[in-house]
Amino acid sequence: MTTALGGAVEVAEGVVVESRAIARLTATAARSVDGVVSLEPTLLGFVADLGRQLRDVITGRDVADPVDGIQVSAEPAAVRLGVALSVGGRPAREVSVEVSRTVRDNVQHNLGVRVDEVRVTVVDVALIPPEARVPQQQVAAVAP
Amino acid sequence: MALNPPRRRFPSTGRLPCGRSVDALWDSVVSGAELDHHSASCPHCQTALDGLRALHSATRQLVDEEVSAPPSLLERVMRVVRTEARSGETVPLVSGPDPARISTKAVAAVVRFAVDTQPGAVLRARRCEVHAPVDAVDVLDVRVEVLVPEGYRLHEAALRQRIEAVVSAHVGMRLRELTLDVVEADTREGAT
Repeated sequence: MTTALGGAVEVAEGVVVESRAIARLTATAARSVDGVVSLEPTLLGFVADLGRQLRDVITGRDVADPVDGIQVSAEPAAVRLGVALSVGGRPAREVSVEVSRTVRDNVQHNLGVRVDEVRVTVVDVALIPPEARVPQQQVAAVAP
Repeated sequence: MALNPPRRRFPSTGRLPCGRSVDALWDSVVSGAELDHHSASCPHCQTALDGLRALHSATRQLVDEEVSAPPSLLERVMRVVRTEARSGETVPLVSGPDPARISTKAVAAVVRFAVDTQPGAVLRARRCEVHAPVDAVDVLDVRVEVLVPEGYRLHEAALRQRIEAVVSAHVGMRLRELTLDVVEADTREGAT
């Protein structure tokens, strides 16, 4: 069972996972999905991330990469995750379903944190004319 | 019961307990002027001077330090602006335990793109509205204004087919209702 500890989640006795670690793994998992163009930072997340980076500088901690577009809500027994992203090359619906599944599997299996919900918000779609898309049969035909 | 007034370390006048002005000491630190006999031997002045010298040194370092924004900062700020502009209104994309939503502005951009890139036609999409019907799931209602050249014969069925295909390929949803408001552009010279 997991319990929330002020932005962190206790996954076992004496084992605490910080929400930042959950956010970073969520970002990595989401980016690995084919069709995800980028994760998109919200204003609130951007300001919070700047504050975090400033804290890192002041406290002498290594400045971590920004975790754009990821929202982690630690709850008593689990976490709820939010992912804001841009997609392209595949239908947004397909990409969203795969992002949810990939994020959920990665966070639960790699961190042992129970995920109650993964909310995906598609904020932008990269536009490619249907004529510009090469059918898979043609790709196979021209492949050596 | 009468209470003594709270004691202040420094009087509100900016003077030290010995009567010297903190402003005068600060001026001497900044200018580098030689201290007079009192300030050179007074413990209050010496303590204040130590603090003021440290402050002066720190502020000089901050002034001299070149500050430059990380190169990626501007890009991130622009992405935040774009995200905020597009993430206002959303419609359901996936329902269930892991729900997904998509910005109506993103869908509208896809619809306008389908119109603007219709092969062999000179069409321009203008206002576009996207709604999720309350009585149906996994479908969208779309209304788009299409600007056609004067006298142009629009193949409406082909345009509808294209919009539906492009939305399906980019968004992955079907259109339940697609309303085309066709507006003929006035191409006469001087017309706006």
